[in-house]
This record gives sequence, structure tokens and C-alpha cells, in this order.
Amino acid sequence: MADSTHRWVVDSIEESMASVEVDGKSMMTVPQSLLPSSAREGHVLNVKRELSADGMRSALTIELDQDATKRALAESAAQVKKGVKGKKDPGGDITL
Amino acid sequence: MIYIVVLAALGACTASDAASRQPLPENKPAPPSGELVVRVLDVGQGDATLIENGGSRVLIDGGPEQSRLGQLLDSLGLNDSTFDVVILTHPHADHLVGLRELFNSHRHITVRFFFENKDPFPTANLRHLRDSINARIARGELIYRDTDDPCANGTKLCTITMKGGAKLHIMRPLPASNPASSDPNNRSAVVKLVGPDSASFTMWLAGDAEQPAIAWFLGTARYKVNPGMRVDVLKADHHGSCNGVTNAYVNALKPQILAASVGAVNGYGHMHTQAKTLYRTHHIPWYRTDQNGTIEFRSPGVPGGKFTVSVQRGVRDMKGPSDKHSTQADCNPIP
Repeated sequence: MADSTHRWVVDSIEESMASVEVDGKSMMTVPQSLLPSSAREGHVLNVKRELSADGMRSALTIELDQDATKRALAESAAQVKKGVKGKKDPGGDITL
Repeated sequence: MIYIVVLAALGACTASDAASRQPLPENKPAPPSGELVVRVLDVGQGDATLIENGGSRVLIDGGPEQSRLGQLLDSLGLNDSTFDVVILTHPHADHLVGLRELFNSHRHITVRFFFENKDPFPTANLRHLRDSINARIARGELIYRDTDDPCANGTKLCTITMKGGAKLHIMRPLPASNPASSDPNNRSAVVKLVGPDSASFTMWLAGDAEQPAIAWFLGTARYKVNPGMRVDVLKADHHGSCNGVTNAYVNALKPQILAASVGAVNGYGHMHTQAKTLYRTHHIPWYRTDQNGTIEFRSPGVPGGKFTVSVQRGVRDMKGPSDKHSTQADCNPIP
């Protein structure tokens, strides 16, 4: 099995457990103690898994990526602004 | 007076079964025009509540899995249908992911209004959901509102009147400027549902709002005054977590029944034993989706009508296999 890199996004943290989105595809719950102590909800983490050649050891490095977090938050805000330019909303209460 | 009905699905499943293997609720024939039907759907560890009245349909949150909400859409006969209003209380995956299934093209589902807090949050699930919303907006099919401005006119509360006369009051969440809003749970939108006959049925749903948001509802937001907080049913904040309730909260709401949406196997200890003790102290019995399956409330919508509660299995006040005592400071004791 080869070394691998992954992108985790911290979705939620509660009761010492963190729910993370893995590579934008699936959700996984991990102990919060595995994450960098400064990791918070909405942070992007770079995850690198290295395996020894003899198959006896694996090392997991989880690093908070502050630049990627800022970029992702900016992209998220821009996406919402794009949606505002749609159908005219007359505002007010709604009667269905 | 409340009538309790246990549906005949007993013995079909055990509490440890995944939500996806639980018996699915079926939509009964079209209800009389005023009847209000509320289903706290069994979606596992997450939230999804379906509200129908007079042909209008509202969904609050979609649960943690597209496949599970898809099963429920199939079993309830909701493909090729219209959801008049969809509300995402906050962008955590256990409330969000199922909503993506509404936009799956093979389902031919129309969504007229979509409400969410529009906070930036970097998950791919939220990005995909907003891509779908933006595509519908571009085609002129959907109106997208911010729960911070639910009426798009600066007021803090917006009222949606369903075709059978039931009303939903959508309220602003704790402002983003509040330090406690760094926790997305505290940015949960709040909804009060009022039946066509307001004396017959009311329900309060506040997503995963925790104690700082609850204090704001009771204080600065003045929700006790407008729209009023006293209700018949409370959808437990935050899956029955002890940080989703306070004594002042239940004193203001005075619910007769609690409905908790919770997964049988969850790593958070929901429902927390401290929360259950508090509800018991206030004489509030609970139903919970992990033990009872989908929880259904029906109100006839006529003066003097009584609401009924139906569950797929089990009884009130059940214990779940994940229930634990929380060590959070907020819960020891719960204020």
C-alpha cells in the first residue's frame, strides 16, 4: 500500500469527537485528540499517511492548513453572493 | 389531551439496527384540508422534519445521508412533488447532506423557497448543495432567503402560511457577531409551527442551538413575546445533548412532549443523561427516533381538536445504547 495524502475539513467537534469530511466525499468521526490542538470547526487539514516498507509502521501527520482554510472560506462566501443575483424576491411573509 | 398510537411495526427491528434498515413510514391518503401532519423522520444521527398541511409541504433539515432521505422520499411517495419551503437550520453534515437528494434530477422535485444562514463554511457537501440551489435560482425556479433576514425586508421573524392554515414562524438565529456563533450550532435557525387551530398544536424546532443561543432567544431576541414560546411539542435541540437545554428554556416552552432525533449508535453520548434528568424533572416525556422510529404528530386543525402522537415501535421515555453522562462544563450542572 502506498503513502497517501488527504484533505480533511472539520465539520463539527463535540464531546472530544471530531466529524471530518474526507477528500470532499465521505464523513468520518475521529477522536479530537488526533487533531492539532488549534483545529476548529471549518478548518482545512492536510493529512499525510506514510507506511514503512516492512509494513510494520504507519505514521499519520495532520497539519492545519491556514491558507487553504482562508481560501475555502472566501470561495464559500463568493458562492453565496452568486446565488443572490437570481430571481427577484419581493420579500415579506409568504402565503403558500 | 394527547392520544398515543404505536404503529404495528413491532418486532421488525432492534435498536441497534442502522436507520437505513428501519421500516419506512408510508404516506396515508391525502389528509383533510386542515389536518397538520408533522413527522420527525428517523434519519439516524441527524435531523429531518417533514411538515404537511393542506397540500403544502415543508422540510426542515435533511439528515446525514442522501441515501436515507432518498428511501424516505420513496416510501412517502414524494418524488415528482413540490417542497414549498426547505430550511437548513445550520450547515453541519448531519442536517445538510440529505437535502442534496432533493436536487437529484431523477426525483423531479421542485423547491420553491430555500432558507439557510448563508454562512461561509468550507465543506464540499455545502458547496454541492449551494451549487444546486444556484442552478435553480438561475433558472428562476427558487427563491433563496437568509435566515438572518428571513422575510428579506429587515424584520427578525417571517411567517409562512400553509394552504391548510398552519403557520411557520421562521426566526433569526443568534447573530454572527456574537462570540458564541463561532460554533455553527449556535447559528441554528429557529422555527415555531402553529397548527390551523393554534390551541390544538404548536411545536418549537431550533436545530442544534446550544445554551448561548437559547439564552439569546429568551433575552435579547424576545422570542417569548413574539412569536411566543409556549408550545405543545419541543423538538429536542441538538439531539438531546445536555448543552441544548436549560431550565429557563423548558420553563418558557412548557412542552407536553419532547421529540429527539438521534442515532442509536453515536459517539457523542446523545441523549445525555443530564438532559433526560432535566426533562424528567419538568415532567416532559420523550420519544426518540433511535428507539421509536419516525415520530408522527397529527392535528385535525379544527377548534377543540386534539393532536395524536404515533411511533413505529417502542414506548415513551426509552433509553438508548449510546446515552451517556457528559463531562461538559455546560452540563454540570445544566443552568
